[in-house]
Amino acid sequence: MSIKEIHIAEDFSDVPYGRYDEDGPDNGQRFREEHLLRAFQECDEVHVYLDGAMGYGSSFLEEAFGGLYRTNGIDKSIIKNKLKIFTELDFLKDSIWGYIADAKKEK
Amino acid sequence: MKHLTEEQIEYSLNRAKKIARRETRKSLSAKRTYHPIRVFSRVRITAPNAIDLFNADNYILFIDLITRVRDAVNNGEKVLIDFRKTESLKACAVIVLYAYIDFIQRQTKNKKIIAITTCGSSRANNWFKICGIWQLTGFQKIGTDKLNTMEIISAVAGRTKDNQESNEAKHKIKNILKYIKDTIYDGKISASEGQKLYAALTESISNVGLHAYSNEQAFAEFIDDIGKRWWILAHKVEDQLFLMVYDMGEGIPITLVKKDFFTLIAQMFNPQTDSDKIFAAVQYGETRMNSQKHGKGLPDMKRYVVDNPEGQLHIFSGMGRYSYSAENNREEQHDLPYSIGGTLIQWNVSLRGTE
Repeated sequence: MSIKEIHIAEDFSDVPYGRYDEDGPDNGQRFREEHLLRAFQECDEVHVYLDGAMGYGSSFLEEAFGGLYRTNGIDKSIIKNKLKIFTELDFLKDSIWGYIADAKKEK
Repeated sequence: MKHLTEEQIEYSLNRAKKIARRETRKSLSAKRTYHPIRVFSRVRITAPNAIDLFNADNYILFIDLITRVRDAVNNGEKVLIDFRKTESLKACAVIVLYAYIDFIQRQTKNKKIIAITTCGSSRANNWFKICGIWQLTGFQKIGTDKLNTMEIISAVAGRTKDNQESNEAKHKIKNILKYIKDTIYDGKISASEGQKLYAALTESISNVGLHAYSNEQAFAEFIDDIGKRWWILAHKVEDQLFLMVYDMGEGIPITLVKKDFFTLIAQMFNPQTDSDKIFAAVQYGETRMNSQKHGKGLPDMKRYVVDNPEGQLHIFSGMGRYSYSAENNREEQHDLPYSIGGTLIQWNVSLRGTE
């Protein structure tokens, strides 16, 4: 079984914020496209480590994780099976799963 | 012939005198022309006694001040702002004043376009010194008070083509957060509180990039001159943190009505005034009705103060103010006579009992 570990602070940015390029340089869309998407396509499990970064805003998390279904069309059941989130802050984990559950496909 | 009573005669005489006085006043004011007081080559503009946005009278005086400064510069003048009568300053107005001076300097490409005097009190002088207004105007180059206030910082929102400006913005955000956590909280901030602080600050900056200057046609010249710029001030008074972010964009009331989800907001809250619209934007973000992509920033901004015993959130935008107080879980709206010229978000947080 192949596992991809992504440590956001080290592999992407320790100051991630914003949804798109207009909001901030290290935004949710860029993280999804440059890191998450490939990991979902190539690996059986994707382990995302949140701790170490300065923090996360809702826009970043929603676009990165909610966007997997909304924009990239990855089935929610596949996301649920593959994605593992690691953080000391449980409410961040809950928020991410909430964004995935609420995501609706873009028309 | 009709006989008039004494009262009627007196009334007619008084009325005639009043009409005559009014006519004299009218003719005098028509002849009066505006002669600004000059100090050498500069137009002198006197600042009010209190620089503040929360008191209604002071708000009008402050907007009048920045309008007079801007108008004088637009007329090709150099300006001296005379603060000798100014005795009290509030951080919320100081950041707006700083932003206007910064904006005018960048727009005219002249660091010396605005000069200032000292203030009427040592407390006010100290404030100008530590927040960077003395440095900005070249009044006095001085190091900041490392204990309580970091100089106002500014950068541009979004990812820029050469990455230099966006890296600079990232660096500044990191520095201000480190300063708040290490110096203002003295390292005693919980991981959860730190996360809420980060989310509040970065969501407000993200909004600057995505919404505040979204009308790129109207802001084309502004963006060319100074970029999609934000300003941040963090200040500690006794055991309270005052943190604020200001931008000179369109403001929430104008951008909100352009959004596709405004139809739903209109049905839910029927907002009329600017303060109604800010209130509605906050409420919409907190409902499960909100769209996946929009309205998430404002709840993040509010979450930082909700659990704080003396937490307050104030949003000035356009001609409205929204205020939330955690102490009594109360929300207030205030309609303002003039626009703040953008959006100012202020968080007041008690540092007592933080771990």
